[in-house]
Amino acid sequence: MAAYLLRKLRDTIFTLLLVSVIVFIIFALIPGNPARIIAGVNATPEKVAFIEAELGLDQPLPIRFINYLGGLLTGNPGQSLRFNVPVTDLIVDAAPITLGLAFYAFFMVILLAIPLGLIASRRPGGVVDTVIHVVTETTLAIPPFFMAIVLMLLFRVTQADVGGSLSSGEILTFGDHLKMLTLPALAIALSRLAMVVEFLRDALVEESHTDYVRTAKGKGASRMRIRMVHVLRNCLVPTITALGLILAEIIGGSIIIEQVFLLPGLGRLLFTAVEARDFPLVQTIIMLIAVLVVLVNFVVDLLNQFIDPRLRVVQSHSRRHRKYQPTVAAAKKKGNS
Amino acid sequence: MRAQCEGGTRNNGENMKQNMLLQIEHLKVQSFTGAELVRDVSFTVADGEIVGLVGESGCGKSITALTVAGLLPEGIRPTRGRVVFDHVDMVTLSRQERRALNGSRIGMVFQDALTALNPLLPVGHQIGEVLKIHTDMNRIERRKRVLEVMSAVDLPNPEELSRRYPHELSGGQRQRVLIAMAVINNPSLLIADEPTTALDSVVQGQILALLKDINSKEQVSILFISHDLSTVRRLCDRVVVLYAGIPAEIGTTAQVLARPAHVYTELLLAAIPTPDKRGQTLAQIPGQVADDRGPVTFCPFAPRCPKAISRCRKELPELREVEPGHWVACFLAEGGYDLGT
Repeated sequence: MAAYLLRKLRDTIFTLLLVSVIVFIIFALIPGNPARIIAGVNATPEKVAFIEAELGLDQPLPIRFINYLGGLLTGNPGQSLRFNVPVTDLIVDAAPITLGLAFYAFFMVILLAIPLGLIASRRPGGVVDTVIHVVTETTLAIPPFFMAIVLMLLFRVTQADVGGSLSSGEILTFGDHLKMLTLPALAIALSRLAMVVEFLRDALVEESHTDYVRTAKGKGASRMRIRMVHVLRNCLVPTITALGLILAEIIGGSIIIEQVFLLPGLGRLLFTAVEARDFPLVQTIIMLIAVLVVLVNFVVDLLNQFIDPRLRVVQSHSRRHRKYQPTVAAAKKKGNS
Repeated sequence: MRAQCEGGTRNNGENMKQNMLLQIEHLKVQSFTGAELVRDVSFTVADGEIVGLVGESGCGKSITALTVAGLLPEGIRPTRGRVVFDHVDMVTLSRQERRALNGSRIGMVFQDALTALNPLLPVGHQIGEVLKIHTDMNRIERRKRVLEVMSAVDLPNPEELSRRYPHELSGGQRQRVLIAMAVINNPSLLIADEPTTALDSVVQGQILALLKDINSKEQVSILFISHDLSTVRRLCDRVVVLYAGIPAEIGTTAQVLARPAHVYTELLLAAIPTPDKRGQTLAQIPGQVADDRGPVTFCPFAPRCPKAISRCRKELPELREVEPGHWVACFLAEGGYDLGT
């Protein structure tokens, strides 16, 4: 296990390093000189050069990259060009809203998807299964931002009610969060629901025809016991993998929803920062999201190994299989060999 | 109704005084499309008896066993006949009543013990689950009983093994775990569906010895399903040879295997490699069990039978007693062929 964690840590560091390089290079390549934007349209070339020097933009790229990386690692990624305050201050204010939204939406997905999957799989192809399928497909087909608008109209809520009145940096209680984030979270959750329900339902249907289910019936286990103790457990690995992908998607994809609801989260901050070529801010936000996504994948891996003992063996002995998504089918194949 | 009825109840001759634990009478099992998976099967299993159910794939032996266990897949159900277990017709039982029998009075041992066990639960937990379902034992009592039964089925080091997962055990150990599960509540009937098929011959022998041991110590009746006549020879008291969902021959193991009366049984035996057949080409039965699942009007084996006469293709032979307790459904078996032993 320790060896596995070390390897995982090494991979994580490489992943994050790669992300930081890509973000840096993109920003070095895109047109638009931040110094010119700060200086204004009428600034003299001397003034622009002065600002460039101040920002360290006159230095060669490798030096700039090392400075930027050093800033990230020491927790001091610099000043925001647009807001003229430390980047960390801006992020500390905005992150709770984005993360709150993401996790709220995520828990909605879990709370809705697991019961729906269980109910749908009771009679595959039956009326209930079909209705659930059609409804979740529909919510999948509607883009989240449009769903957000529909929800606002439906609940007679305006942007001002949700995030419009909010100023950045305001201290919010848990209750405020809940009230404010329910509709945005619902808009996100509804669009992600279909995939998880479908995954879980298919896994449940497939697993209920396995030999160990027949064994459990031979033991005299009740239908309920078979589903909850045996079948559901065997469906958790693919479901958790799907949930992990979705959480990563939600974290990265809340930008538009925050726009619609005027929530001052990371998404809106990122939007403003890109417009203003505020590269310290953009780079830091993207790195933060990258770290979160990597972290989520790591947790998914750990959870799956906790649930499925076969993955523990596979992961600690074989490097080659490590990159594959741990699906039940793959695990079974490995178990057989 | 055909003569199988009497065949089913009378074929025990000297065993008449024994209590019939399981009586299958004119069982017919059909799928939802109407296909006849089991056409007309009757036989009995007495207290403490080991009965082997043999035949090729698709002959209906597993379906018969699953019917007795009440574990038929969805869409397949018995449409005629009775399955009487301890004086109760199980076909008429409700799902709850059936569940109360499974795991307590009827134990099931399946083949391919890797997939038959839940991969995510320690084996000790899976054995203990049977107690959880059928008894009021607490955790500590259950654990004690699990370790007890694990050592009874010769699993080494039960303490440690009970915490392991199925994939960490050998094939033989997994099969023993399944047997432990099946016998933990001291059932009256054990249904073993090809329990040794996936094992190598040494382990196969050990598992057969274990089943024999359980049978003689606990007086458990065993319905043993196999396609392998040599394992049946080592284990069973009586044999039912099935062909295309109909019994071809019923009798004691000695009768059926030493003096096969049905051409099909004879050919099955000739196909087993034995030391004295060394150097000869092994006999084989051409073709396979007919795919036709409709009603049969003549001997289903006739199309493959090298000795078939014209009558075989016109009439369905009934089970006739060729010697006490030895029944055969073949027109050619007037006196039975004596092949010697």
